[in-house]
Amino acid sequence: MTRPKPDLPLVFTCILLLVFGLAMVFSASAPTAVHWGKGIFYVLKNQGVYALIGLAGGFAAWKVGIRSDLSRIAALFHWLAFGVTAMTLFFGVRTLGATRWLSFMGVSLQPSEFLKPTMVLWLASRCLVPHDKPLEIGRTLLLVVGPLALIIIGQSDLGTGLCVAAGGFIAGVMAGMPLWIIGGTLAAGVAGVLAVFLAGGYRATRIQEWLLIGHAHPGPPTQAEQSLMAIGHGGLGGEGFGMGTQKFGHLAIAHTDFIFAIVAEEVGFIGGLLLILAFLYLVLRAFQLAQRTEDPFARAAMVGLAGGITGQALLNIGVAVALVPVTGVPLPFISQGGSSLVGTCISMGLCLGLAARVERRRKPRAPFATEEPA
Amino acid sequence: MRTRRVSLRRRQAWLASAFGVYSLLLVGQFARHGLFQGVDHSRKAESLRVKAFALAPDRGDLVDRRGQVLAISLQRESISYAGKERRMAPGLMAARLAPALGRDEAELRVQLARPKWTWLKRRITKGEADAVRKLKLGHEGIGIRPEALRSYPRGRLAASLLGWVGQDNQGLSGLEHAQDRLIRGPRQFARVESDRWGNPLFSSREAANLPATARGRRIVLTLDARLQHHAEAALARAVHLQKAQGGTVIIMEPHTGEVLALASYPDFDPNHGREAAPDITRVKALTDVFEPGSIMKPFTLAAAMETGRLKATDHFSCPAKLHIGTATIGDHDPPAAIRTLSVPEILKVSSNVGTTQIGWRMPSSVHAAQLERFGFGRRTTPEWRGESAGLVPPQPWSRLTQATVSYGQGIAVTAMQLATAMCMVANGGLQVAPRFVDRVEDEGGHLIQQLPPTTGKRVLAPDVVTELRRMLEGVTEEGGTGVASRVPGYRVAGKTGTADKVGPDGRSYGGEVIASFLGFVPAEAPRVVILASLDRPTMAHFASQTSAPLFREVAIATLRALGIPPSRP
Repeated sequence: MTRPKPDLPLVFTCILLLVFGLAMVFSASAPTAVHWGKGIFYVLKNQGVYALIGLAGGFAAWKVGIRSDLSRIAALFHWLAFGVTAMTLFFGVRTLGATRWLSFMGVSLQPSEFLKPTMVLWLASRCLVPHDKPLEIGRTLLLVVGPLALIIIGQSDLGTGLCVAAGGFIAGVMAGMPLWIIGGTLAAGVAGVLAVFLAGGYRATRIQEWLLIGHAHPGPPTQAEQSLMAIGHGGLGGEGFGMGTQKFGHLAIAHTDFIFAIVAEEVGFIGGLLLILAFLYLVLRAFQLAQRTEDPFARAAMVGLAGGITGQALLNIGVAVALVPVTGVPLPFISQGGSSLVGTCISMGLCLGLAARVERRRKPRAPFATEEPA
Repeated sequence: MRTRRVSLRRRQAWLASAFGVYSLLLVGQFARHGLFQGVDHSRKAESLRVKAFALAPDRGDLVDRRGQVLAISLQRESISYAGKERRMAPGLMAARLAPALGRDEAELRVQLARPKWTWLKRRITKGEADAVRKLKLGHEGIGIRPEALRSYPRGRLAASLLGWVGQDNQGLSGLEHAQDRLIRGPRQFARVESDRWGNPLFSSREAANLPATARGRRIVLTLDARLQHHAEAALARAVHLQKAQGGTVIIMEPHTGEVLALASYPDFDPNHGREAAPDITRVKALTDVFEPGSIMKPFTLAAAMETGRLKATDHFSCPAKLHIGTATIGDHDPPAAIRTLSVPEILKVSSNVGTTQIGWRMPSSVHAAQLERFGFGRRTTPEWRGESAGLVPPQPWSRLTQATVSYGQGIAVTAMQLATAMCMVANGGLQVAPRFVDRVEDEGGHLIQQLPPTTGKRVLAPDVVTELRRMLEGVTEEGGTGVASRVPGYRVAGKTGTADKVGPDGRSYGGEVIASFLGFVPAEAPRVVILASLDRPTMAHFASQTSAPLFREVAIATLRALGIPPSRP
């Protein structure tokens, strides 16, 4: 048996995004860190540690992806992630008005980040199971609706909920989910999002703010408007790495959800466009890899994992350029945030592991084939 | 299996097109805000980012009309201490700082132990500050910042007029106070890129560059340091000679109102203004009122002549005493019999009885209105806070009130009002206001601001002025009260005044006087108006013996310094 090789273009893209992310986190966080009375490397050091954990986690996930049949342990992972996320309801740390975090021994963890890959894997695995028994249908519904309700209602974290749902939805579509379910899910999703906004509260406010962008309004500029100012200030070529000015408190906590604005300010439209293309490459490469196998689980899982990350990135950038209202989703690989970075690395590790497993299974059968069938 | 495969391809296509369509929208929106509306967004960001920082330029230098420096701002550095930032033990820190600061170590330790923001020492020289800098205690809360030291190189010269400044370089008295805004200069702002919390970014280049107008400004005063010096010296001598309590000398240019000298005694050192009593530091010529006495008589005559109620050729029958109700007014040293005095003679011998009769020729409202035209009862300058307007008694006047006002009792005036009113006689009858500041220049001597001279309307007709001058000249001739003011070779016009000073009870007169001489020289073409006034002289009582010689001494020095040629005989 040959030694499994990772898909190098995908690995290269991920490493590039990770390194670029660390650089941008440093640039965007330094003024805020100084304002907090810490050194300029304060946020970077933290994020660097998580990057190492993320690399280790990604490597482990890659190994797991190769060695084990993920379709059989997907349910276990999903239950585990669901259970740990549910613990936030009882042992959670309350920050910024929401309880999304678990904390033990000084390390904080946002378990809902890990529901993103497990939802994909688990839904991909469902395509192997006949869905004619009421018990199976009930279990599927419970494990789809349960985590989403927990995140969106229990933690009032619509952004993460949307990302979990999007990854699972992509996996479901690829796994051959019947058309009526696809249509129903989309309709339910749209209705659900509308309902959440119409329910009022801060989300309704965010919609209003989004609609008011570009119009005169009382009060200081919103974060989204500050984001557009940064993007406008960057122009085509950017101000140069480290030379942004919006990160000096004007765009509050610039190293988190709005980091794309700082990217655009410092490396310009061109740099931002390259970043978007890098994220699109993730899902396109996953499509390519999926075509090499007949295994419906592997296809659905690979596309779901990579598509979930690309989808989250596009949603985040959509917020930064005011295409969509503020949802509070981090930019994968780039935004500061340990759980998000580790979760993203694990997702990509699993995706790469699945791809390598597919290659290894395929190669003995066609040892001389050098060209991929079209 | 076949259907599955077709379905998969189609589904891949759906997903890919969903990603594609969304990405196109995304890039479109990105381009819209980043490229097409980028300039607008960028401008908006700039308006939020760029803040105007108020600069604190040093106070402008004060120089006299010939460029002599009277007040200057010296570069010094002050040591501040933010107590909350200290981590070092206060004892250790005090031990290291005390020698550099030249302060007592124990006292310093107490100050350092408190978690408060304070100054440790202000306005030390650069060398002393460098010693503190070498200790590298910046992270312990020790700050070093430039702070100007206001210095008056001529010491006591013109001290009360110039004034002094407080710990934060704010003007506290004199011109430093009255013209504080002019001396500080217009508020200057530097446009600096700043963070959300107001700190400059990238140690902004703009902050370092003060606009040229903010540096080295010079405020050119109308004062002449030479005349000021002569006036102060003569005043000090006269005060000592007459054992007086104090005195004032004002020298003014009558046509422009420029104050060439304003001397006050006692004086103080503005470099240590805090140690001087407020009673001494204020500009008494502007703030303090007194009853002028006989100096007022020329203005009574002027009022009557200007309103057509008196001719210079009129004569008055003057008894030794005049009874008004229960009160009696009398002349100094009168003959026993009733005498007939002409108008010039009334002035020459300073007859209260004669002046009273002249005053009575006017309705009291006309009399008061004329006095107000000469500037009595009104402040002479708009900018001096604390200047007194004096008091012309409110209407209606009794006959006694009008009588006393006629010869300068029962009316309150400032020395500056008297000198200014005399300027109107000396300059041919035009209204004038005192000027202290001529212009503001930048460090290269270029004009920044010219303070407009006062252009007055006519208050006295030319023929009235001519008559009045002739009469005032008579005062200094043989037999007049002002003989002692005569300057050899020059014709002098003026009037003495020995005013009874209200006693400490504010009601009765206790025999103390303010002796003044107010005049101008040369009488035929006046160049300077001089007021010489002594507060409570004790060696002699009358102004003819006290203030007139002081006037003479000041006039001689002034005529010589200004190079004014003698009058033709």
